[in-house]
Amino acid sequence: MSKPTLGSAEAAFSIESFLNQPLRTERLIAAARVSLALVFLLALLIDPSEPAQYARLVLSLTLVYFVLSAGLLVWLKLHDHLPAALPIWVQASEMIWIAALSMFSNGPASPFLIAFIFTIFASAYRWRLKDTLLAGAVAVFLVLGEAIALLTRPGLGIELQGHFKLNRLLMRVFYLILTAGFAGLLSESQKRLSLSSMRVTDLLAGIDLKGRFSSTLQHVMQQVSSHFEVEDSVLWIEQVSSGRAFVFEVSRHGGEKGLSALWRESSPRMKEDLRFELNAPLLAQTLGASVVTTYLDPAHKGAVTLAFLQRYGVTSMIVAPVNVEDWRGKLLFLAPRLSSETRMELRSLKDILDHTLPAVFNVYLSRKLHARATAMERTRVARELHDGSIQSLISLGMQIDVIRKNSGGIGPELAADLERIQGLVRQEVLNLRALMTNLQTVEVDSADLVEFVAHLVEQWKRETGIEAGFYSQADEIFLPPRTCREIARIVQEALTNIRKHSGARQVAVRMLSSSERLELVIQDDGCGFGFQGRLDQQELRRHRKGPAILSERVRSIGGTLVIDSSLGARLEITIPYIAQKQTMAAQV
Amino acid sequence: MITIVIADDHPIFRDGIQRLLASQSDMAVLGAARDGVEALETTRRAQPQILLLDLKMAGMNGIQALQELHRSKSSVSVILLTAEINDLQMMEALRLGAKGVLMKDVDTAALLDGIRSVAAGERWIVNRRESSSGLQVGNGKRSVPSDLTKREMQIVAAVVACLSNRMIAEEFKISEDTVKHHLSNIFYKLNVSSRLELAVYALHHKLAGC
Repeated sequence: MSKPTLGSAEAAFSIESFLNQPLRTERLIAAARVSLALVFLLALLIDPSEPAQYARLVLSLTLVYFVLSAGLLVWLKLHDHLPAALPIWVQASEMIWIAALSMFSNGPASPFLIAFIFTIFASAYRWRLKDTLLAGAVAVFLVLGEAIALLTRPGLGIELQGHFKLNRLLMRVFYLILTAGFAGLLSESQKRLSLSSMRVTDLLAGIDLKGRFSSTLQHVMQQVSSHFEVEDSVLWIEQVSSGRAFVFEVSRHGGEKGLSALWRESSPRMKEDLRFELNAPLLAQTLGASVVTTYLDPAHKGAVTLAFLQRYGVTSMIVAPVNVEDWRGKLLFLAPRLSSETRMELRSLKDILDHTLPAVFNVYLSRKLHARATAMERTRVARELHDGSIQSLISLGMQIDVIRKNSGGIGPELAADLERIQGLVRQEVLNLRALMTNLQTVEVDSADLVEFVAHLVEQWKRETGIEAGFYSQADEIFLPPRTCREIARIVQEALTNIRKHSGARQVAVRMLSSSERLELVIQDDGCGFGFQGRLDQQELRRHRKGPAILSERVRSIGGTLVIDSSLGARLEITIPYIAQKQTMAAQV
Repeated sequence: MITIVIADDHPIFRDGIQRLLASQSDMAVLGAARDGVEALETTRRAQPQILLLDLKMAGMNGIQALQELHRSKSSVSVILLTAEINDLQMMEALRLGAKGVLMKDVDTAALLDGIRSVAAGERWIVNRRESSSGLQVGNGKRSVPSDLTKREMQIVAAVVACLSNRMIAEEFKISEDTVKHHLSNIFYKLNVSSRLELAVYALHHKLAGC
């Protein structure tokens, strides 16, 4: 009998590690075995087995069986670790022992045949369908072997005796086969249920309400993907309330080290492709020029077309619905590997998603509420600054100005001091305004990024009196909201720096997008960054030059920064769309 | 002598600007108000040339006070003196007859310059003097308003009414892209670079019934 092995996916969910289940199983079987052996022993003491010439032998064999069973139970109770091969050895030894008992107690008509039923159930309890069927087959083989031995009476020096009746033999054999079949199926079903619940538990255990939403999503998709040995999975979600759609892609090419995740806004094409009705997972596979669909709901037949599969460059795909609260979407597992029981796998996936997605949505809500609360608090602090400190400082500056102008008799040193203090006050107003701007939440996504930056530049121009222009050739931008917010922050930061440090009189902000990247150029005619020439991000870090916070913001969204500080300053920021992929390590 | 009333709900700021203006030989502060209602009362009573009006005030805010002055056809020249203002608020203020918009953190020389300019009959929009032909921006060469098509005139009126592109698109049953296209043409023809400049220009030239 082969040791039942768990697939990699099943190993990932690690049933064994959960409460040391195999040891518990073996202890239970051992206890049952001791009871069975005791009952056999008592029965034989009351009424010895037939034929009488082997009665003492059978009694002895049963006594040894009882002692060994009790010894095994004690050993299992005393040990916390179960040797992997022990259940197989116990199963094999037990079947041989029972064969010996039955052989010397009427062969196929032996009352000990019931012990074969026990071994079949024990096998079902330990393992799965195939192993149980194998145990049944071995029992049948032994019973038939005894019948043949009884009929042929081989010259082994043993005189076998028994009442052989073919009809009884056939019925008992069929009974063993049926028992093995039913017990195996029950075992399989129970194990799958247990596995499914274990997967759900494992997935839910990995969901941290305080964690990042994308990390949670990545964890869930990665775990489910590993079950189907899928390298690429895609989540497409449309928010019903806003009509906006997003895509989250998880890829693990090259194993855990190559794991990456990408959030981006959905393209209109994808929206069109994935808006079809679906309420249960399906598997679509190409067969020549057509698509074969395995579905749980007949209404989904033909839901996935060949063109759809071709767009993702795969010949098979699992498509599962995502219908939770405000979300309508699909989860795609590209090129999955499924067992022959596809429908059962799809049902299992449905169970997992039904239990897991609401928890994921709760993380999303929790993060959203947290972000909103933080934003409200920041807005409140910004308002306090705006309505309080800034205006007081402005007033202070005005009053210093009045003192300077009205006090004609003061000495030049005091006048210079007053002017310096006024300058400091003014600088502090600018600093507080910059802080206030940074505190305020930036709500922007790819649809309104261009308009947002245009407005930002226009407002900055108005507030500072510095000539500024915004030029855009960015028609379609597919970037996640977080990246858009960072870009807005980068422009804000750059403009604040220009106002505070550059002394520039003219500023130009340009935004260009292509299918591969977004380019942002911020140029001014100020004093530059204290070096001559062009430096990239690494050189800036090495020489400790350039704006550190801005540089960090660019790096955090996978962009590159080059600063040309020859004539004024020119910041060139490039954000390749593909570079939006963040490694798992960076995310967690 | 330029007579001024100040309306601001921040006492320290109110005090500071009052002292600053009082120190100018050509300016006289006739009163100071803490909110819009007080500002209207003081203005009615003191009849100043200039009302320096804060935008954000408890009770009646600056825009509401401006609406009231607009309704009563007051002759006072209102300058919004604010720490923060967005395009929509600014267009609304200009539409209601504000003659100037000044940021509070502007340096004192520019602040005083702005007040003097408005008192002399000019407009002063955020650190910039507006000449008789509109804001001094770009190369100064503008097309005449008659170059605008009927649809462009309608869109100018909508911009002055503070409608967003989406609202304009819905109003005229056209797409947002078409609105943007019309706006680009209008910006080019009038040599303006923003909706605000367009609004100021339209108000100044009484375009599209503004």
